[in-house]
Amino acid sequence: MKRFRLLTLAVLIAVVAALVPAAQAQEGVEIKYWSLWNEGEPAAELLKSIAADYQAASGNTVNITFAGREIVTKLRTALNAGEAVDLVDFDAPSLFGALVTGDAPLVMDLTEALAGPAYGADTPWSEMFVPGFLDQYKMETGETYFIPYQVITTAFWYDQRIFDEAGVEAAPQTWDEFIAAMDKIKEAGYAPLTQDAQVWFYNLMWFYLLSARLNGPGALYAAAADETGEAWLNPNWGKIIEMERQLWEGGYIIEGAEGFVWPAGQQELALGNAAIELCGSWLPNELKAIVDEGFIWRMFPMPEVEGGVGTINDAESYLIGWMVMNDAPNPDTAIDFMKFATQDEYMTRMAADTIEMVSTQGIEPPVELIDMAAHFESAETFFPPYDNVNADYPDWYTNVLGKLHDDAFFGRITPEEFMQQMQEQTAAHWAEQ
Amino acid sequence: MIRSMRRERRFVTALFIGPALAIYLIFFIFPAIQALWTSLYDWRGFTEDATFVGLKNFSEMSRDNQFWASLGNTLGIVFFGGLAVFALAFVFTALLDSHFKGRKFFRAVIFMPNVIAPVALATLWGFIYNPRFGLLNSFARALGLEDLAITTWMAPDTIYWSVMVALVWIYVGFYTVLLMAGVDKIPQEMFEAAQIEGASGFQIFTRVTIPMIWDVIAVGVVLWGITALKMFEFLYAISGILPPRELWTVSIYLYVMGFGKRDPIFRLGYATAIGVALLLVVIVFIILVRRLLRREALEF
Repeated sequence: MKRFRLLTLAVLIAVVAALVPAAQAQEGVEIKYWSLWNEGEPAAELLKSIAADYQAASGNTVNITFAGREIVTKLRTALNAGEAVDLVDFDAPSLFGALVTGDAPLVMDLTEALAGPAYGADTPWSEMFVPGFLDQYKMETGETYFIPYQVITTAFWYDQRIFDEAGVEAAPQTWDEFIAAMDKIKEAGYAPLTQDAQVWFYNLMWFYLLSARLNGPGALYAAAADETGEAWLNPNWGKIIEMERQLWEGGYIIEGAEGFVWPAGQQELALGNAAIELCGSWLPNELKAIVDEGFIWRMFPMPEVEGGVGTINDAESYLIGWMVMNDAPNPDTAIDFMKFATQDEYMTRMAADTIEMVSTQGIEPPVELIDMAAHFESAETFFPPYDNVNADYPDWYTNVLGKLHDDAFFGRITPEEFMQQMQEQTAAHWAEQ
Repeated sequence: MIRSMRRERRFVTALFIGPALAIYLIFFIFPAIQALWTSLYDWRGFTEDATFVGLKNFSEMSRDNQFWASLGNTLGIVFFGGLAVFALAFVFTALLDSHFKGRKFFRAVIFMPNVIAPVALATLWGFIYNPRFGLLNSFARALGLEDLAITTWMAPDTIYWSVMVALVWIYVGFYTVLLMAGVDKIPQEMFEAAQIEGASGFQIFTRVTIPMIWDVIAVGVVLWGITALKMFEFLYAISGILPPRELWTVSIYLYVMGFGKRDPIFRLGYATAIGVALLLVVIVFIILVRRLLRREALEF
């Protein structure tokens, strides 16, 4: 009898021992998260830290693959190979262009998740975000596929010390004031502008921002979608090219810029040889190791243009954020992780560590981006970078607009030829579809 | 008995060739055939959904200005780059053939770019050509050549030829070593006999050396053609983020159209059609070169 009891006890211990690890394994699930950051970048380090905190709080593991800026290309290969991915992050145009085209998006509608409570709160998650950011990528049919966590804008970046030295007292509000400010900077012995002109989509920043001021946000998108191409015969497009050429012909752009291999152009800003650069708000972060300690980062948006429809309060917001894959094995955990990561504590660190603005409300902006925060504060509308033509018409954007704009930007074709060729090639592009 | 030996020989042959043939078929021939098939589809590559479009991708390519511009850039590298690479390789071969002191060192130096990663070479040339503090302009300034010192080597109008110079610098070492390997095989008596007959150095090079390494030259030209037609890494890396359009070769254009680099263009079917067109260009090039350089083999 005693032997029987011992045997029973041994069997029970064995059964419990076998069950305990299984129970522990079921406690937490693992989500696969593919990120645009590279290992070692401040944002990557922060995401790793958030993932560790999340694991401690929930028992769930976040397995992050830092795929770099070619994440979507790598993701495609992974999906083809049958790998299941829960969560991805990248800039909105790239994610939409890759995963939300056609009738069958590859990602989940997150409307319900946004209506649910934020992490550890009773208020809806959607209320955490700066008004306007979620709406920017809301589909006409009502779905929200994209949750932003970082916000970039494209504007003019400069060192306040050069403006002070040149006697430029206030950031220009109009194109004429902009030219006048650059004249003063030139007189003070600085090149007013620097440009990484070999990067064609950096050159295009001038074009789409001037278009937003002259024609209003959305006009570039409408012209791209015009299958006849007739919209390109509007003289305003020629006027934009003339304004761009004024920068070269007026000697405002630093000598040699047309041959700058990136990042040679932005280094001229950091070294104090040029006063201003039109670039994304990633610039202070990219140049933080090169600028001297006294560099005072300031920024102003594209000034208004005489007779223009758009105003200086139309702000470009270039969003970086998450999408959850349709066939994610653990979508609820992916959503839970996003909610966890968008808590104030982490968004504050995101702003400070990456020197970027974040998408949620009430977060202190980094000191380098004080002007950007003020610009967003006074913004009446937000519009996407490149008027979203890079997401919805990427082939046209690269092979028609990008090509012809560079031809005009460098003066190889006249403004009239630009308009004419844009009309013809846009029509030809649509005829191929 | 003989039949049994033959059977055994066939078995042994199959045993040796089989694995290599299987690998070749699986990893080269099958993907090539699949690429032909894919080029007939409109396919983004994220799912298995693909639409059969027949030859539409090829007909679109025939009207695609950017494709033709990229092909023009590629053929420019093949012909102009090839002329410069082989002209210099011949000069270096002739010089190194004179057995001067330090020959091996010089050979190692000119070959060195071939063992350095293209990305590192691209960074180096980026610095050389920098218009403000680049090595080339600084050197010209130091020599008092002010006109040259203000040249913007990487401007849209000059970048193609500037990069061509860099490509020639990279590849000339490899082709010099290749030609020299051919020269080293020529019996010394041939040169001695020519010298006794009173031939000059130039005559010896053109009448003895070149004819006797003709087969090596033919192989070299084919190798260069294939390398140049597929040119990608250096051109891609030299411009920081994305190469300017002036440097787009067929391979770069294929990458832009199929792989969503920077902008989300995921036209995998169209990109594959570009790849098929490139394969045809390579085949035509090889056939032409083999015909043009065909000579009766010299035995020595």
